[in-house]
Amino acid sequence: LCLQVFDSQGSDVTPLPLVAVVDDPDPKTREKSSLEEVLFKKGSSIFKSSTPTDVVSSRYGDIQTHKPINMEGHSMFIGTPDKIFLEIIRFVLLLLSEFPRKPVAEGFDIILSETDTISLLDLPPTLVSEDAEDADAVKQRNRDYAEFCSSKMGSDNFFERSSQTLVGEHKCKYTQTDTNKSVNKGTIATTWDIYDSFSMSTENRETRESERVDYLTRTRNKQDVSEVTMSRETGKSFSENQAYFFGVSSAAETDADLFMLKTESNLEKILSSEAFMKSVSIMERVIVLNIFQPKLAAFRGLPNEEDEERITEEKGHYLTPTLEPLWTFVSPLTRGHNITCMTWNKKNPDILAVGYVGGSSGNPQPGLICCWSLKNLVWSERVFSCHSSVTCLEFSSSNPSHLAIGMYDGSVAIYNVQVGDDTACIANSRDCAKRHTQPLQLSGEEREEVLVSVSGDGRITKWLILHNDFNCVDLMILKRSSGQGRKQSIGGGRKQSIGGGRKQSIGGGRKQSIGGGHMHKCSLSNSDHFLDTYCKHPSPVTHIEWSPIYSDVFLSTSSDGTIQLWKVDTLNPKMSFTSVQSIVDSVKWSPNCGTVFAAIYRHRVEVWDLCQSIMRPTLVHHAEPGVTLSSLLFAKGSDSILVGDSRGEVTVYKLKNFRVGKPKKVNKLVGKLATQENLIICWISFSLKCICKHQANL
Amino acid sequence: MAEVDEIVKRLQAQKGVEGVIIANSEGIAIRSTLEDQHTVQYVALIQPLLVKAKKMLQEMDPSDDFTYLRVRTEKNEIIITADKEYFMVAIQKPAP
Repeated sequence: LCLQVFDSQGSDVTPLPLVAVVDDPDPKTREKSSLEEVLFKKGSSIFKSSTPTDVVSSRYGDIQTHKPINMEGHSMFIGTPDKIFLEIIRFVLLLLSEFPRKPVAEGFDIILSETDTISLLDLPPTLVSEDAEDADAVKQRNRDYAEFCSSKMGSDNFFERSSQTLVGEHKCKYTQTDTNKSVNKGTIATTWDIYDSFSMSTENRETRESERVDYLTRTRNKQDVSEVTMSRETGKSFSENQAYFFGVSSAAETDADLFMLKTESNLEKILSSEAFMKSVSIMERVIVLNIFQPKLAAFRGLPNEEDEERITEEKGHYLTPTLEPLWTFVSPLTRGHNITCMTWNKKNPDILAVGYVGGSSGNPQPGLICCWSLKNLVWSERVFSCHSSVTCLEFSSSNPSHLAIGMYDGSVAIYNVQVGDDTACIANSRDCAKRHTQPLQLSGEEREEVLVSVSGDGRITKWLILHNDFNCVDLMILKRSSGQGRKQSIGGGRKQSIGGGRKQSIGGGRKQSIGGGHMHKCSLSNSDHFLDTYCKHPSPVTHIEWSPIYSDVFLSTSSDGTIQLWKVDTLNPKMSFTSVQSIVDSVKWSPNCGTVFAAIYRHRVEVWDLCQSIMRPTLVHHAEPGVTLSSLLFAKGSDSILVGDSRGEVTVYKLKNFRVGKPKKVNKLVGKLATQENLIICWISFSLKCICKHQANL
Repeated sequence: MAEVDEIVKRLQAQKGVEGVIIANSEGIAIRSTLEDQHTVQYVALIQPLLVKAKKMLQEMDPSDDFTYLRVRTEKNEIIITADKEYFMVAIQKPAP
């Protein structure tokens, strides 16, 4: 480490350090050797020499070059050129760190200071004495040189010439920055001011809360003693952690804590506000729509880009009709509940109400109704729980937000779905007795809408709401045609008079089926006996469905696996459809197309298109193993079917490749169904979803 | 309170959603599922945008109200709903 600088002659011109040892309490002034000398003079000459060394050794303890130095409160000046300087520092630190120091009362200071000026180039003039031998020569040379310099001015050998340094062209570059807003603030904290602020802050903390809330965003952790004099900043500070730390006393700090708590509770209040719930639900809908956009587009029949390509490729082929699953309405609440019924809202066709059975079908337990909206496919908009399993439900046409449900224990309730959680009307469970209530609703044109229910005890009752009272009136009591005494379930069919002109008695006639395979037609005006009886099915009829387009055609299904197509006037079925020996749970006509209907068997869905074939279904879709399909619904205006199953899921399927082929046997069908009353039905079924019916005479 | 948390959790669990931030109108994030730095960045940048959007709507038709704003980028979609006192941001990767 010993660094020495020698000049050309070899003499040691190592720059000497400044005074190394100062504030030396030791009176021994001979102690001039710097620490550096001690450190760097490797030879232990220092230590072996006489008095100075003794002094050194006594002073510094027992040392060799790498033993600790006792530096009791010295301040050391170390001034050397850079590299040396670093080396020294390194060495010192090494010493200090490696070896335990004797406990030092005070630390020691390393003071770094400037070096002397180091001259890098020094050409001293040579001094020649007058008496030297070459003094004359030197003089002459000097004179020559002076002449030369002076002659340079006008001589031809030299001329002045300017040269140009090329300066690069300036380029204008435009930038744009935000202006840095600056605010000047000044404050004078006088003693009285401080006192005032403190005393005020402890007294009226609450009254000034609102002001403080505004300050919160600007200065999060700021507790300003002279808050009164502080002006508001105009710029906004977004960082939460922007801290203006002022010296605060403990009292001010507790202020800050309380202040923070209060503002945080304000923030939390935002979260629980109603407007926020609305925003959150909007957000959820938007996100869900994003996810399901292609499916919803398919549901609505909007052309999807990929589909179009495929269609153009395969245009000539006849593709098998299939059901393409789009999405599923399911939520954790509804898992495992069998679905019994589904219906669309009359006014807003995007809202679907689904009724669930609570628990297993054996023991009636509280059921569920969920209202789903097409805007949010993931979570149901409303969930209502009822005291018993739901067997059927229906939206009202005149009050579109009223939903009437019939329950397993025979009671009927009306819910107002606009309200989140309420029952609009009381559920009446006294009058109407037994099971399988199926409320029906008449859609009377002029008259008021009436809620009518049919139940398994053979009564048809009309329900009225009078002064918040839910009352029922028996319209008719069905007598069992054969007194077999076995349990008989009654289903009902709704009659819609479409196409006008066909006035019936009050609201229209009815058809009911009684177990045993008979179907009876009754009308409201004539409540004593049935008008007609239709017998064909050997086993109980499970479902009857009127055609929404042809007002006197209906389908009946039964547990013998057949579907019969009837016309009102004839007591024998016009057509019969069989495919599989399995109980047919339900059948529904398609609202879009007059010749299409779908039927649910326990484990499959079949879609029949009478234009294409009356012998076999056009489309068969099997359910997943272990799942029983229980409910079916068409979507109006869209080529889709909703299927509810025993898992509590409603799956939406799109009818794909349906009606691609040309219709066959149109005439035959027309011939079959046309009656002598000039019921002319012509089915134009080339294009999708286009049906016209001319019904004369009626 | 619990409902809100539940809904936020549901939102976060939807397919493609990368983050949900709820902040009050002054720019303090109340809830966020992103990390702090990103949250702060989003809030700081979205807030002036919201102010401008609301102002624009106000000028065009004073009876109209701001419901939500979508910013669709190449990589994802930012959905912002807002009210007077708060705003909510969701970042979602669109379905492929």
